[in-house]
Amino acid sequence: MFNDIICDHFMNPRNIGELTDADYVIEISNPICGDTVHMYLKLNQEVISDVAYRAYGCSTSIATASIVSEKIVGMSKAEISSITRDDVVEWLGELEPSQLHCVDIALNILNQCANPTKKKFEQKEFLVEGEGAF
Amino acid sequence: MHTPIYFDYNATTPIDPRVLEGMLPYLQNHFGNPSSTYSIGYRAKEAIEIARKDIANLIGVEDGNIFFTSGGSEANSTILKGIAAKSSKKKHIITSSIEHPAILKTCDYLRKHHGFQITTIPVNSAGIVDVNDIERAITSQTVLVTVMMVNNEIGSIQPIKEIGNLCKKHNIHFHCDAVQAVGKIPVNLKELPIDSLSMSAHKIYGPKGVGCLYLHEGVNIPPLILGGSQEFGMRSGTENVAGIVGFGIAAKIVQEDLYFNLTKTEYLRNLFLTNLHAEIEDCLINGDIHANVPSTINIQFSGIRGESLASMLNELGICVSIASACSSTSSKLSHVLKAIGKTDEEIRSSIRISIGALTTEDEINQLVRHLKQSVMRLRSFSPKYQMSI
Repeated sequence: MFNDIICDHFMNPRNIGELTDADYVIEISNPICGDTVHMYLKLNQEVISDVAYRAYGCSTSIATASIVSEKIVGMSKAEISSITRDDVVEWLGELEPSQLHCVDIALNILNQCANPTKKKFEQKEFLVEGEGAF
Repeated sequence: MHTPIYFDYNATTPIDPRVLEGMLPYLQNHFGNPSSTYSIGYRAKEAIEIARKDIANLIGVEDGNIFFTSGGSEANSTILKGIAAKSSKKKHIITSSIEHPAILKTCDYLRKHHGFQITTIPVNSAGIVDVNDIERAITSQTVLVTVMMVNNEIGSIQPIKEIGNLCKKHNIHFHCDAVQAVGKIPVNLKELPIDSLSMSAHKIYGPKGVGCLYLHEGVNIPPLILGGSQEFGMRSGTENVAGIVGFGIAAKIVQEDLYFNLTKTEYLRNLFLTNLHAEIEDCLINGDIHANVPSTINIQFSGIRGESLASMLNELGICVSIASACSSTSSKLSHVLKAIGKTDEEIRSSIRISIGALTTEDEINQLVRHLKQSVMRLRSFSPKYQMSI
């Protein structure tokens, strides 16, 4: 069902919460399955110094956000840019076919963390799930 | 690791120790082929006939009308494909939108490959078909109506007697998938005008891989599986003797315990619901508990995913089932919850709890405690729940 890494991060997610003094926020929503991650970043001279997030989604996506949040603390934006899909696959461990979409969730988070633009959530709107999203 | 606390009796049930004990001799010493003419073969044959009687007795029919299969799905395929094969002129089938895939996919197969027209009758918000809708759908081409007795996901009980009477009036074959009904509610075919009915052993504390099809006197269909003419020619293949013996014992036990279990299940369901509503906010029952068997409770918890809730419960040693597979596509959402009008998001936040004969009050209390803990924890992660409160 779940590998040990996913299981550990799902049952004990790291960095859950919000940062009131975040420098940037990022928002990941999968329009098909509705998985959503709201992540808060604190930067110190282009290096991620603190991170927090909230996640709505399947257990693997919650674990994925936790794994990514743990990895990126201490990394510069440039270092985050250089993270590859293979790196992410290794971080997440062996996944079942239904969990593979979480690799893309991780890559989406990383992509936005490497180039954060939003200072705050504007509306915190969720994409509408289901047929309306297409 | 502790034994898991099991709340998925609709998926399958643990085998009753008395069933297992009764089966073992037929896996060991009495291994004969029931078609053989020597004593160990005859003994196996005799055991099958005893089981047939016990199963027939459970649903109030003659034993000669019971045909063993590999399970409920095979029984459903046998009757649907059998009726279709016999019907060269009439090519219209009526079914409901909440049937098990064993029915829906067979209907779809008949549509695609044999030119049948399928009318799928919708259900109301409680998950119940309207007999008037079925009557309106009947045409001169209708050869079969197939509606389940109890829904597997939400537990809604269908108006089987009325549907049966309607079909009788129009001289249309009425098939009923009763896999989730038998052993949970009284099923007496002396009072129900049903032409064919499917059952499964593993839903009533019997073994997996065995079920049966009941065919009313005079219903003649070609078999699905041809060969050695076992089961009066209706289902060839050497019989699953131990499985059939186990099915028979299980049928006898559920018949004896039916009213006790029904009362106990109702008590446990009510206890669960009282505690659930007292302990956990923002949860909603899918369907109408007053229209359901008490053993099935389908609930949505706002702001979280059923999949992550079931996973967390699993880590805490509790087994429940979900209404939506973890998937990045929407095609795996429950067709039953969709049929009762639930949104994709509501379906994704739902879990199914099914209670059985072995469920205890202590297990219900543990379930509510762990549910509360897990729901609160997942909501504390969820930006969606934060926003909705």
